[in-house]
Amino acid sequence: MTAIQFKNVSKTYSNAEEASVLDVSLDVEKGSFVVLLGPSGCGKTTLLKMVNRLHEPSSGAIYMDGVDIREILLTDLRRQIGYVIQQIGLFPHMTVARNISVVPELLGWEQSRIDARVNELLSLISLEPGTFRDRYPAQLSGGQQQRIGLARALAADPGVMLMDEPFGAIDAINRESLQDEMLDLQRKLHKTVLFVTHDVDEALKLADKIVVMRDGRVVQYANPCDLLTQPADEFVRNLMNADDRIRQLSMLQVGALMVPLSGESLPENAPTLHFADDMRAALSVMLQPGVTGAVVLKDGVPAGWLSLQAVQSAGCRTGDAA
Amino acid sequence: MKFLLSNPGDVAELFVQHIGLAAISLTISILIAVPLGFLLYYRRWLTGPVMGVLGVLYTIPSIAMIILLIPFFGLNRTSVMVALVIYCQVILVRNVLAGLDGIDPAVLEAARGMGMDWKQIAWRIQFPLALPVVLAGLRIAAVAAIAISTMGAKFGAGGLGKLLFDGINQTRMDKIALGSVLVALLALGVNAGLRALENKITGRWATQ
Repeated sequence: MTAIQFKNVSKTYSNAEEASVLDVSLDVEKGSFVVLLGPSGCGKTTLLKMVNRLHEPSSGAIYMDGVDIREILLTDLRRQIGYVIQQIGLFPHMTVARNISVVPELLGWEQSRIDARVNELLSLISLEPGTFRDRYPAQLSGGQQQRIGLARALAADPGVMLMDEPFGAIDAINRESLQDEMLDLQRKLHKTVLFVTHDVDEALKLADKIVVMRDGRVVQYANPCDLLTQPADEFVRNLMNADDRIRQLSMLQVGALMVPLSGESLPENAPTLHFADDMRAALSVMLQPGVTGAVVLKDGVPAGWLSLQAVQSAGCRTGDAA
Repeated sequence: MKFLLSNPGDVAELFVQHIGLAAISLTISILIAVPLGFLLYYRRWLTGPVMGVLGVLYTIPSIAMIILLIPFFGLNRTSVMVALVIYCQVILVRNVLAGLDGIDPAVLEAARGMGMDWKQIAWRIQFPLALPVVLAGLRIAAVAAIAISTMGAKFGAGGLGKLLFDGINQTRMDKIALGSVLVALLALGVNAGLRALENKITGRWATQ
């Protein structure tokens, strides 16, 4: 089912000669995590901000669940969409709890329901409610602030989330853990997410599908594996560094390529891997003299055998993406 | 001191008149300056002309300003108050505007993106965030208003200025001294009070 549909959407800013977004048509599946990827100035942020009408298309139309978004009262539309930005934009004069409460308050929820929701969300993003409810944003680290930004966007349980380079200003270590939490949250919540980034690794890690944009146009709209193995043109090939075998292997899990054990004897001193490891890790343990394969452990017990040959011939195929 | 001790009731009455004159003028001033500041914030091209006019008005000496207003409002308290309101505008409007300009654009984008309308953004986000800067302006305006209110005595508005002008007419140094000290104490007290309020508000959420 299509949650968001772009139909021939173009945008030319009044002070610009060239279009920022040019004739974009896209269908975004309900519950899918779609990343808008491209260099700065490619129009990805403009495209995102047209969904909650912070920018208006010059032509074309955008539909949410089949309804033209211009037919929805502007404030109602925005209250149905979670919005997370790179600069976070927490309200500095409000506590964490009041920041998270903003949209539920606008929607007129009862106070008891709001309080319960705030605690639920803080637990969801691994911040202890008792400790963090009454803090002010200035008392939080950057990573904690963006967690609150995420919680605030999720507060009224919107079906759609718009995220504009949300982890772009976070240090590398916190960014990784925020990405992991985002994946974890998405597995639980199944939101329809539009996520802007210029970080290819972030896109590959998070996306169900990636929209590669250049000069306001969509160059390719495909899942991460297809982008790596079948780039539409030189631009996509270079952007994704698609010829990088290691990057392709990082999209594959050991579990998908191992051969289940059937009682045969295993070579002694064979290295071990975990079921959920990616093929890049597999390659790394196998690149030693005399090693022809590795034992795959599942829940600590040997469950399969992965040969070096299998890694060499592994391709990143549709449906294999983690 | 002699005068105060022998006429505590009279002095107290003048003190209250003085505070009343300044307080009412400041209240009216802020009620005009906040909407005017918002208007200039959203209609940038008005800023130059409006601030220019307010700036020119600010340079007119207070006695001259009150006299200019007498034909419109009469020889009374009202003319003095209108003059005070006009003086306060340049300080207050400038600070309302500075307070609004100082708000992080990301905060406003988040507020819009979350579905607040312009009134909710003004009341819940912009006004509270601009408040510390507005209060700093109010502090300066209050001190100016307390000082200028002494002129009120010349125009039938009473206040501590009466002690000063009576003292000059009667060459009574004790009255002059008492009036000066009380005006100064009032200004210092209000200044300290508003500064404390300012710190109380920002202290909770400023970077620590």
